[in-house]
Amino acid sequence: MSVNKSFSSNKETVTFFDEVLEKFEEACEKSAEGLMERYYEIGGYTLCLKYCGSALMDHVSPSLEHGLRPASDTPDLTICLWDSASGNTEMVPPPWATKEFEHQGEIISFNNEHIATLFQPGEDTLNLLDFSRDLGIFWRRDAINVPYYLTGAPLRSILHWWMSNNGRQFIHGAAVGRESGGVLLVGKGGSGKSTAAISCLNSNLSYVGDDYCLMALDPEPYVYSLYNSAKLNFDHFDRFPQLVPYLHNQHPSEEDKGLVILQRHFPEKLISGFTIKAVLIPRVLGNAQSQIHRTSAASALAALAPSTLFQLTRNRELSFRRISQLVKTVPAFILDSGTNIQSIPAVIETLLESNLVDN
Amino acid sequence: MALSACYRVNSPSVINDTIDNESVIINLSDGFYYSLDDVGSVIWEAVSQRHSVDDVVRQIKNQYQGDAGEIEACVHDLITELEKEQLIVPDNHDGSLVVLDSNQEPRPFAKPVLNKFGDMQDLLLLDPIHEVDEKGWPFSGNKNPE
Repeated sequence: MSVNKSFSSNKETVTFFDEVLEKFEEACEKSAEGLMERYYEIGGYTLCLKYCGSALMDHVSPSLEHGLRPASDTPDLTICLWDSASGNTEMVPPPWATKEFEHQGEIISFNNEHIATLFQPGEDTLNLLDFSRDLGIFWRRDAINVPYYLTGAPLRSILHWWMSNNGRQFIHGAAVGRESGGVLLVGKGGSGKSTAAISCLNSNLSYVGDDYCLMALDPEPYVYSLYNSAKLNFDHFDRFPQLVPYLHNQHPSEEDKGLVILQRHFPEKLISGFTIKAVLIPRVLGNAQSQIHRTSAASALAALAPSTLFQLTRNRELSFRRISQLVKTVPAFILDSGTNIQSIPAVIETLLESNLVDN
Repeated sequence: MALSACYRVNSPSVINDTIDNESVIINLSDGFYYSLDDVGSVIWEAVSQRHSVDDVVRQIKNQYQGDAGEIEACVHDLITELEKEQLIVPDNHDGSLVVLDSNQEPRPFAKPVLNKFGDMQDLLLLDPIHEVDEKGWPFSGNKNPE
């Protein structure tokens, strides 16, 4: 066993990865439902999810199902998902000391250039990625009491690690627009990203995401849809009552958010991505009508980079450079979100049609 | 603070960029992030390029109109604050870097302010381990890590 903060040899990390993979295969054999494969297109790549039965699939698949595709012989990334309870298979013990779990669940000694390892706090999920094999593993003790944020944004860590190495940047932001281009809405939780994104469901604008997206810089800034979920705070229930009947988690507690799987109820509003024309920083001043004002690139960097970087492990410096490049490329604006909800998509549409953005 | 003292950015913990005279600085170790504009941003850029304190003072005096004593004190104060926040650390550079003269007309000097933000700290301070099972896997019980 390695000591705290030291780096395990690649052999140790690969050995652990392979032991967990063997357990996944054992679970698939023991599971009544067996192996179930689903294929998705995410960020222009083909993702194969190998589920051990349907227990975890019921929680992981909904937010990804807008990307469902026919089976492929050559997926770019494969992730094996299983839980010990439905697979009747015990997990191997962690080969590191309990004190090695970092605050964000990263196990430093089992992270190197070949393998990424993290136990996601709150989700209680083990996340592994072998970069050389383009193979990930996602494990949970069981599929009971799965938190809404796992269902709303599943596999964040594994997707971030792999996508980051393949030219796609995980972004903590919402995105709405048209096929010809749209805006990225950025800021910390509670700043109004979701409100602005959800308000566009009743407009001419299409929806790419309300919380997390993937970004590419080359050949031009482009945002890809990652999850088709919309998260509703309790105050959203009053502002968007038409969405309440569609809640995926029918009885969220006051600490939880409600989830709407848009692919199931508003599929016509979803698009896979668009060219990023502008970065918008929402804020709520309490005015009736929404307004947009120009702001600096550094303001956009400060609004987007910290809230993205501190939710991710690994590649933070690379992430920062990419986000910095984005805000140097497209203009940034403050979006003063009005209490008249429909004024939000209206000002975004006006912006997209104006000469303030590159058309 | 010695006038010949030099500093460097405390990398890799600290990452930063300056765009149009505004700097954004993030300390990945503790979750704090910072912004500087105008005079503060010019000082940050000069310090991060390992100019000596004396050179930084001369550069600011060259680019800004103001009381020489106030400019010197403000530069010292900001560098002290940057070091206290562990955004820069002493560097043993020999101080031979040359300050570039500005071709622009000097602008009015305003005291630089280091804006500090702590709203990301919760993300770093999550405690994932409340208890572990007999195998050693945690039950975290944490709230949404957003």
